[in-house]
Amino acid sequence: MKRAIWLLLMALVIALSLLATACAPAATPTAEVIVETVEVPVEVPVVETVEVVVTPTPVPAERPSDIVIKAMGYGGPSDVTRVTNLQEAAGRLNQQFKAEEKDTRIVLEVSEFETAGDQDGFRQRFVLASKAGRAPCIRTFTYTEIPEWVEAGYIIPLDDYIDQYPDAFGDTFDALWSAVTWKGKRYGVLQDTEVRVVFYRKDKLKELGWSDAEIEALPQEVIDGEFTLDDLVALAKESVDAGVTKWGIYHRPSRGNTFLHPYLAYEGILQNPDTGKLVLDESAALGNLEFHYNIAQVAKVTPPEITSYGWRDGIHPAVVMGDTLFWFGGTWHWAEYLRVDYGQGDWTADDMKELFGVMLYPAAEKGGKPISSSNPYVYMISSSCENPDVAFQVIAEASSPDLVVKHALESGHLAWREAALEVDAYKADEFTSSVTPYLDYTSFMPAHPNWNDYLTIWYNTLQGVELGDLTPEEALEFLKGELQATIGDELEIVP
Amino acid sequence: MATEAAVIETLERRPTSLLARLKNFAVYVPFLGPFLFLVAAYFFLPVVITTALSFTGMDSKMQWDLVGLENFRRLFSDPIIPRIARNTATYVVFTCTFNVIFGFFLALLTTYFVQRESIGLIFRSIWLLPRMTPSVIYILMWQWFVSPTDLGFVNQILRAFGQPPQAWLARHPMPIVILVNGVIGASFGMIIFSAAIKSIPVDLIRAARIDGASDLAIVRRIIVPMLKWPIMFLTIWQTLSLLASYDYILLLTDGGPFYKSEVWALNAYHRAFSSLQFGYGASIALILVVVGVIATFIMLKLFGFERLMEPAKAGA
Repeated sequence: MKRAIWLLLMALVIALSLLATACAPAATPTAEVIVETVEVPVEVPVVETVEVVVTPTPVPAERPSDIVIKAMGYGGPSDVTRVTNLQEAAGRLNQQFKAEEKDTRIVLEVSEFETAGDQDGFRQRFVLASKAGRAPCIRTFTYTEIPEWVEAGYIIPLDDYIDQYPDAFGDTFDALWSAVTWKGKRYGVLQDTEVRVVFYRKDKLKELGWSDAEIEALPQEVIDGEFTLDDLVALAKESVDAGVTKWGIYHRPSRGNTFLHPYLAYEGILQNPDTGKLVLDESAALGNLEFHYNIAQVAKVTPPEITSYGWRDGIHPAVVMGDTLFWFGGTWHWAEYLRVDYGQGDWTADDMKELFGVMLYPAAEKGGKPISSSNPYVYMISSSCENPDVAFQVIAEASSPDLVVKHALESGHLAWREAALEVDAYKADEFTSSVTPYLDYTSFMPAHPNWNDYLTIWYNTLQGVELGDLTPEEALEFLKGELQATIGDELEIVP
Repeated sequence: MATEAAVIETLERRPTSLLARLKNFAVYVPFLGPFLFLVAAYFFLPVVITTALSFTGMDSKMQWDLVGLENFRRLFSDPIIPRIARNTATYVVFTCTFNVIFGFFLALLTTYFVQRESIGLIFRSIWLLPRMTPSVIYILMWQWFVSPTDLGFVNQILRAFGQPPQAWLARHPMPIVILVNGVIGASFGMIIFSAAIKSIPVDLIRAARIDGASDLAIVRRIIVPMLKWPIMFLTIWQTLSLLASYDYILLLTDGGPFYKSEVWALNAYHRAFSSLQFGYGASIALILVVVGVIATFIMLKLFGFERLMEPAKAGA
């Protein structure tokens, strides 16, 4: 009996110890704010020696007067300036505070920069953190999520802040404000923008007998509506049949706006401007489905299984090694191929220029208008942010022309404000200058809380079409049914 | 015998007073308490929360807006649901069959045919390696194995025979999903069956040999009949596990291409965590709970579970 009592007591002590451990406050990590003076690369002429607070892992502030601003961002390997520009901006502000003898310092913590392409996880983490009231102050991601977060109350309107910084935001291209506006208020400011373009291989066209003049004239033919989607497929097929390239057209393997470009080329609209509801135009949708069925199953210029390819082991190596004549990419890929080795070795801008040309997505009919779309990234401020004014101050600083240009040139994106166009480095960059006029032809995907579902269902259906599991007509019926079941009253189907 | 009878009498004697009953209850609590807590926390509570969620329209706003049966109405009118139900049935039936048969085959090889315990142990340990490997690493290996590029292992073999590379995952996602889950799942059956085979009295097998029984006859007439209860346990266990599992599919194909490997549990995950429609995702998951309970009862009936629980007959 005595032994049983002792055992019981021991069990009680162990249980209480475990409970105490679980309830104890988390150990405070050792403060390791690295304040260092760094030389910023001189590619962008305006940048000079600045004090940058680099916080590779989340660390607490050192002093009571320190203001911790957390940021989260998303992008590819070349897009890291989406968050490092914020760090640099914080460093500049700190220097300014020092000069003004203010006892304030901003500690910019990058809580995450998602480069693995896990969009769903990036959204989930923000929702859960917001609900817990612990979301990072600054979120850098696509503008299309603004309506969803506004409706959920996770981000705050920025109009008052924007008005306080006319020098930073007064010269934003007017068309881009619509991307961050929801129900009459602005919930973000631009971080970058881009244009989706078709890459074509100049060396392969030469092998097909094209002259230099014809090759250089191709982008203009697309703009003039002389070179259509049908011409593009025919040329791709010619290249494959002649054995010049293994495939004719490569497109992205994962969900993205580019899949809807033929829909736009067939004059389909995605959102009713009056009701704000999403739209499925049946005839344009059929055109898009037929286009994808054609390239994969009829002309056989695109691998039917391309959506199972990996970006880094399937798509990019094929593009840089010349396995495909056309690549439905975006301006940022130009920068990516200069920085990331997919088997091509070190390429210079001249190498790229010699091998690749870029053009808009052709119109569906002769004389039609070419297509492109942009997916601007924006800075948003979460409603959990305790210092939104400071967070916005950092954003305004990160919107300085030199930092906008730094990001644009290093990541292959485009500037979104007039002042950036005047920066010498931007003007001197031939590629960026050549594609900036394409912004006139671009369109934005709808701002709607169900946009993510709409695009996902489109993508899944196009997978079925390219694999030959569905004919375009069957796919249209499936698409309508699935969109209706998922989006319901927020969808309008027009014949 | 007298002591045994006294214990049984003590156990069967019912307390009469309230105090005695409470004392009796206090004796049970330390034994049953932890299990009751675990079952309540990890089974009943999630089921209750899932049930409650399934009647709400909870989305990224994370608010409990009651919508009645709307989620279930939507579920039964969703055109993709019949396809997902078919996929789930295919996945569960074939993977479970693969697991049980292959697990039995491995156990038989390493315990009956390989007589030396040390060698059998080595082979069983090798088959347990995938269990010890993190899911992501295990799937990365498979992705390289069936990669559609020239670098894929299978495609390299094809190339050696002058054949073009194949996009295995895009063309045959479900068979590969079954194989991936089957290979890792078979090790569980292997352990259970190995223990069961070892517990068969060796006299029976020796006697059968003396009577001239072949190995096949011994397996059919002695080993398999004596493994009835482990087979029942494994079948029920694997069926329920597979109904609710999706992690390897998520990592390998994410349900694609074109929903070809999308199973019920994965669809619930996609609805809840990709579309952030937590209410609708919960209603899909709730159907899974109901199906799991029904499937368990049917299988227990089929295998004659009552007989397993009957006390051993005296003299048997």
